[in-house]
Amino acid sequence: MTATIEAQRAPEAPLPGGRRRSRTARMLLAERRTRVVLAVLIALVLVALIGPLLTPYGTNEQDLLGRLQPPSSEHWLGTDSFGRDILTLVFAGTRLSLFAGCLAVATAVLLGVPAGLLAGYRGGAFGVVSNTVSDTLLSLPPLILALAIVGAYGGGVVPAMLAVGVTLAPRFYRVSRGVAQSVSKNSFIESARSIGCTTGRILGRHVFPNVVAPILVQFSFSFGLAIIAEASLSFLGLGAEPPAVSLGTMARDAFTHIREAAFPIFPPCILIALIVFLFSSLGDGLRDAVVSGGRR
Amino acid sequence: MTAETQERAVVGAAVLMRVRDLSVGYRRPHGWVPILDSVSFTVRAGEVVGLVGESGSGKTVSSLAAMGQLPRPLQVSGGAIEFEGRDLLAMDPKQVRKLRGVEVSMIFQDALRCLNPAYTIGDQIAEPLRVHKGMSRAQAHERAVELLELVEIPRARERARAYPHQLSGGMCQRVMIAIALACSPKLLIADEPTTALDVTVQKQILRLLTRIQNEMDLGILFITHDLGVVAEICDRTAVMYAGQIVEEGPTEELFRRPRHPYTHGLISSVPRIGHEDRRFGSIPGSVPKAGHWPTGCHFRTRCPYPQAGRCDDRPITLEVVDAGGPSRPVPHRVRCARSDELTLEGVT
Amino acid sequence: MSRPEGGAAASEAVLTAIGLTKLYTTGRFGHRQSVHAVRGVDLAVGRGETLAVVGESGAGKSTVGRLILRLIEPDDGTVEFEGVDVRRLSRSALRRLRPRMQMVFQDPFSSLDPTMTIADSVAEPLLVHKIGTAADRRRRAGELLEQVGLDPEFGERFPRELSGGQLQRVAIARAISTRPSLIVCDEPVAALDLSIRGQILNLLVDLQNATGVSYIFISHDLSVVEHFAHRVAVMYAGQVVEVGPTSDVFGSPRHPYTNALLAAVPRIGFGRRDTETDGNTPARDERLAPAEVGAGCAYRNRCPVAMARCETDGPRLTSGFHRVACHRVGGKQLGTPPVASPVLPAERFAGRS
Repeated sequence: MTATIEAQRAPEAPLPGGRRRSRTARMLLAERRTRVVLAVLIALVLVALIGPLLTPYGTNEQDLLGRLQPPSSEHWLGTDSFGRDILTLVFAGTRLSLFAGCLAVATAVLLGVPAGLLAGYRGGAFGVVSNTVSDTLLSLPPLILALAIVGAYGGGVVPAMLAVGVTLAPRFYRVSRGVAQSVSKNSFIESARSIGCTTGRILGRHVFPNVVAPILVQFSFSFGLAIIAEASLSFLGLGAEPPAVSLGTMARDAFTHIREAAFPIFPPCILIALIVFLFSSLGDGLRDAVVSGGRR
Repeated sequence: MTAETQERAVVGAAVLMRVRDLSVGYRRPHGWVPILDSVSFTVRAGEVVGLVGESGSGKTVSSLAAMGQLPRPLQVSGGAIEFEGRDLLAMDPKQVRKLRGVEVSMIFQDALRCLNPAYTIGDQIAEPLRVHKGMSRAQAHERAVELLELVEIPRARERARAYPHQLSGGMCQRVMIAIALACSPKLLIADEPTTALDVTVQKQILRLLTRIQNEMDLGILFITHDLGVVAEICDRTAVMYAGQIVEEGPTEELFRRPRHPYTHGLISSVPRIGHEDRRFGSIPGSVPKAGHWPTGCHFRTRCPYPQAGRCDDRPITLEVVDAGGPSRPVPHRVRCARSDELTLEGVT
Repeated sequence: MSRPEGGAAASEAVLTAIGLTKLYTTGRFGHRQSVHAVRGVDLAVGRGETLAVVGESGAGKSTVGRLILRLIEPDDGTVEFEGVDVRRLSRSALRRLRPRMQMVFQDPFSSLDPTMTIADSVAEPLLVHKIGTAADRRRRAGELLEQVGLDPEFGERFPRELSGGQLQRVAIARAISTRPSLIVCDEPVAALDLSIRGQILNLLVDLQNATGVSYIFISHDLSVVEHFAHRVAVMYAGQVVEVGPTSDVFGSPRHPYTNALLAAVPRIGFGRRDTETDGNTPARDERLAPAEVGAGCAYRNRCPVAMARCETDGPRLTSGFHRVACHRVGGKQLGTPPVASPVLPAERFAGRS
């Protein structure tokens, strides 16, 4: 039986013009700078992906007679020490570097975010333990840990990036925990408990969506760090192994032969710098949006 | 109020603050958003003027404007604010700052947040004395202890060395009052000072303010949403709704014979102890957001008595409905197109 | 609102809590101190009845509400809800009981998830307990919104688009979605504008008349409580100091604190008011620090009629229908309730500007 309330007045109606679109997405993309950077990044990824279609050369097409050639109409960026077309390598290297970055950050997210959410929401013994683990990891210089793991398990992009991911995880843990803690103070979390939500639902449906924005910020910054880490490890010979090509291996190769040809060092380094710059800018833009997103 | 101050308040006491047709708003990409629409009020020495309103009424913005402290996006788009005849809006910001804390003081709702946790309360009370009055450290400290006694803090000398976090909410509010009164201002603006306090503490703070006001002949602008508080300490009251003053006059008059449907609605919404009402009074609907005010009367969408042709097409002005008698020459003004026709029930 | 004078004794008890206690520990390893947020609280609510729990900040009333629902774990005491011992239930059994007892929170702006639409929030309890299909839930959300006086169109909006009063209606719609028999209302109108409070309170009254739901109404606003509740429990420093039918407690208060509370409420009545000789108001506004209370009465430092015994001996609630915890009370009444006198001349304003 419905109770009639204030029967003489019609029920309150909302003002026209409400929209359903996600508030988070709108807020994050509010600034033009963010949108521009994101567009450039997407373009870069697309180009890297379709790269093989753009060049007539294969990644491992060696031309030992034509090695270390300067840029020409045949090879727009010249050739490396094996005579491979550098432009082709750039596409391949970017692909691998981006993949490596994804692997590292994905590892970091999977390790850090769920633990952080739970620690922020629940606290207690679990929180204490995970805080300690996180702080310990933070105190280790990232590359050292990566070196240790790669040394123990052998080289290759995958183990190296997993190691980097482990060292990046504490950042995500802290961000998730901090935001989860402050979000959990809101009464809608208590309300969710009072209607009988399980912890899983509370974390997944109520805490996480409110945490997404700061995590995306962290994601951007971490991606840049992961790219540099991969490049560094590959440069040291501990990352990608031949025949795989990454921006790091390209830099190593060019560096080794720098006295013979000066040019080949530039493409990989510029590209690394560009990618890191783009992700940093994206992170800045997202962070500004998150910070001012609360205020109208 | 003592008999002498009553007399003086009646017979042309000094006008401390006069706000005239003040309009405030802010600029948005799609246009100007008004927050205050032609707000006028006066505070004289020795009287307590209440500014009552709910959320979205503009009462806090009015008080901030009066102190020259409008937060950044808000701008004054019209009108004047005068303190003792001097136009605050025309003044140099440096001169306005000289007035603040010395001649016009303000106290706020959340006292603990307004106090610096790193300094003792004695130091914080002494600060305005040293900055504005040039007192020495020792002198200022003595006066600080005197002020703590004035605001009825027991063991004042000992307490002067305490830090804000060691005090209760009521104590912090008393300290804030002491700081505000340090340089013997003429006008005190109190923005919801007791809203966050327990009701037993609120009663003491109100009594304290009344006592101090009598002793120092202070003018007080008291902003609140609590009608009970208004009835207790305000001599005159102005009711605000959606950026406008809709009714103003002697407090008792306002309660006994409200002339504006909003005032009447507010009064009916207060459940009173000792009265057996069947249902709770309320005003249906919600306050219109700034920038979405209805044309004509801002209240007409929730008013029980709107009339097409009179309430909706043109701005309604604040008119005098009762000039007051010879013993009480304080006019009662209303902003209502139908004020002469409506008879609204008040408190008996 | 017609209030039956019977209360819990006449109708069956929906909830009975006895000896509820919650301790919080402060300090470090060497100097651990226990502070009672709630100590030995007894409460009972009958079917279709409203029990108000009043008190000022720090009284423990919000904690009591949460202890009853076991949103916070009690350290001691029993809670029996519809015959079930709530404290003995396992986590999952407790979760299954939740639809029967709901809560409405104080701050309407933060009690709804900003990332969920109104309709989703209202129907969430049904989703969580797998009641009905998605289509059923959508329909029911619309019905519930109408039941609380909102256009079903609001279902598509997000909380940030609604006003405080509208949000609180949504919170109520969510709370009644599972047809609970008890709703704990934690200061549901404190954060709302004065003119909106009546709308929400009337809504709650109408819902109670229509469905027979019981309320535990937590508030610091006595004037609201008088018109709304059948019975009222007054709390101070974690304990119930007086409890009984509202008309009794307000009409003839027996505990000095109840007296002080009633006297402190600002009045709109322009009768004679003798603020100076108000013996009911406490002399100091500081309550005893929790560590100082000890075994004695927590109110003793503010009480106008405290005696030596109050220092060492904490009073217990008397038995009967109107119960008081005070050594002074042995059946005799304390003070007369201050009532605004409507007839006497408005002395306060004579000759005023």
